[in-house]
Amino acid sequence: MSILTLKNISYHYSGSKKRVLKNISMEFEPGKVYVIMGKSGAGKSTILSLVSGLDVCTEGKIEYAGTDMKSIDRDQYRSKNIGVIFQGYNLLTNATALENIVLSMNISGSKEKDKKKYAYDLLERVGIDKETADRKVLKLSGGEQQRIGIARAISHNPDIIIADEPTGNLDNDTEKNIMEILCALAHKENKCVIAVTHSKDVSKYADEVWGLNSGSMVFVK
Amino acid sequence: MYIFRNAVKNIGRNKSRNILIAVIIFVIILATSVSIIINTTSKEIIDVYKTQFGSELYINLDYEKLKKDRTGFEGITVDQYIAFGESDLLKSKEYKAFVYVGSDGWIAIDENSGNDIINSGNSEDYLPLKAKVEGSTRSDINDDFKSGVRKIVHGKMYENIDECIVSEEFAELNNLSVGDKIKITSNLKKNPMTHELTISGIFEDNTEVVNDHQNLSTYENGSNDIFASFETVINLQLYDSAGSLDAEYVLKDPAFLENYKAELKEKGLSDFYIVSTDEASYNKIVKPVQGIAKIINVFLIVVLILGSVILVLLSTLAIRERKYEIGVLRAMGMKKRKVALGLLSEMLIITGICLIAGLGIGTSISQPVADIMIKNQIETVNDSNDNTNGISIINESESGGAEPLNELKISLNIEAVSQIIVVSLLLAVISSLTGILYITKFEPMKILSERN
Repeated sequence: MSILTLKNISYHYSGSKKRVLKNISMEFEPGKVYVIMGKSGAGKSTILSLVSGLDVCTEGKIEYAGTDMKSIDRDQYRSKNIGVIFQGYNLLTNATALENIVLSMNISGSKEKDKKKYAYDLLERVGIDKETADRKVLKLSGGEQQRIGIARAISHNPDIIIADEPTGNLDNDTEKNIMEILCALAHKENKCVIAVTHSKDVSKYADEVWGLNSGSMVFVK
Repeated sequence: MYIFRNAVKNIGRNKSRNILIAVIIFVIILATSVSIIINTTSKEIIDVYKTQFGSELYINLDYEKLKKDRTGFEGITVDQYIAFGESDLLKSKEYKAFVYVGSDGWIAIDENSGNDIINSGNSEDYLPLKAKVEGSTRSDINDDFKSGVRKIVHGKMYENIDECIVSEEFAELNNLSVGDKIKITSNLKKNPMTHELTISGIFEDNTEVVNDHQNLSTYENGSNDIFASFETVINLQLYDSAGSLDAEYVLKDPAFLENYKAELKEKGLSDFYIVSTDEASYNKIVKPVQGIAKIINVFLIVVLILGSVILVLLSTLAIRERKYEIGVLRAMGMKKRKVALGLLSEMLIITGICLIAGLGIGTSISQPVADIMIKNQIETVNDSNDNTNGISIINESESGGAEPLNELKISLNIEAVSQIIVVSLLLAVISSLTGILYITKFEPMKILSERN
């Protein structure tokens, strides 16, 4: 049973007739890690912005749990149903790691009684100790920021986790560590993880690998 | 609630930017507070004086007209004065009747100094006048009794016709006590009229003693005053020859003047009388305050316009910094209105702190600022009067001796506080407006992609 379905979606930027995505149809299931690969400019980030509700497709439709995304409150969808790990982290840099997580939980309307404790535990799970959690994000390394991004993406217990170049700027050890966390989320917690990357190393962790070429999606493995 | 908590944290996270905004808002609120506090006080004073001088009526003889032709001139009778007071247009009316009297069997204070002769015309036809009998419709007689400068120490206030009260000094001098009778007479030798008054009370007189007793006639000495009811005085036979009446009418609204004038004409007021309000006193007192109000209003408008422009510019610059933050919050699923509420909360908190500080400091510096301004305004008004061909526009007789205000007692009232709060709220909204517009205009993806 798919959690997310793309039905013949196409996309072109406003003012341009050139389609970045062409008639893509796909189904994403819970408990699996999907990796979408492609060269720069192939439309990887565009497809992520569509499935994460940051943008809308110009043709076709996307269904979340069987419901057309057009009839869903996209703000609510982003805050409750999906977690996005951005390539550029997109954390509040003036806030501490902990504050980023707690704020995300607040936005999603989390009912967790002790949000701070939950956030500390979550950060510890992705390898961020308490001392680091209390430091401002601006003072942390890229790897640490990426971990905080992951912690934030799962802080509200979403069904789908979307990761844009999750290991883009990281060293091999950190890359391995991050991918193991994502895999664990899919295989142990039944989350649907969709990662977009141009790294072949990342594809090793995928249950399904898809290639994006000239706006069309092809199954790789 | 988390939006408010996050707003508080955000203020601390962006200290330098918020301090700069706070300084600007503080300066605007401070200037606004001083302006509004002085302005509302000025307005109150102007309103009070406008009501006072615009409502208090004067019925004066038109001497110019009288000089030209006295044909048909008749004075106002007591009955007319009373009839003039019976009007729905009046808020209040007070009458005070006086009779200057001679003595029969008593002496006035300072009489032995020969002062009774000075002003009473030592001719063959007249006897010296020694005292004044005064009757007022005021229940407290006059301001001296009201303030306690004069107070009854023996007996009681007159209640009935032909009862009176005299001063303690006068009673001692003539060996009089409560219940005794005194005879007052007219000063006409050919037509002597005598009337007997019963002393119902004796009052202590602590009015300021005029040092120049040599040039003061005895009836001008307050300790020789005899007080009786208004009815007693106007019913004295002496009143017709030596009496006078002061009437004070106060209109319910200055705008009723013309209607009241017409009513007086209908009631028989002669054309030899002019009905007017005390415009000269009003101008003399209120002009400096009006000058301050004008300056303050201009100052307030300039401060608000300039301040708002600076705030908008600063907010526009600040929002460039905040674009990313807004994009992240929106990407995390925070609704537009909540992001806007967060920005507004931050600005309201900053403005609230500035409001408390600005209002406190503004209140304390308003008085010295007002003192300086009124001093300058009085000088300006005096200069403009002196420069009118060397003749003062307002002379003492015209202004009824009214003194211009030389100080403005500043007080913070609810109206001023409300206005300052409204201005502060507007400032907070103006400061947040750029950010709020930005949020409504752009989608998170666009904001983040621009940043990336």
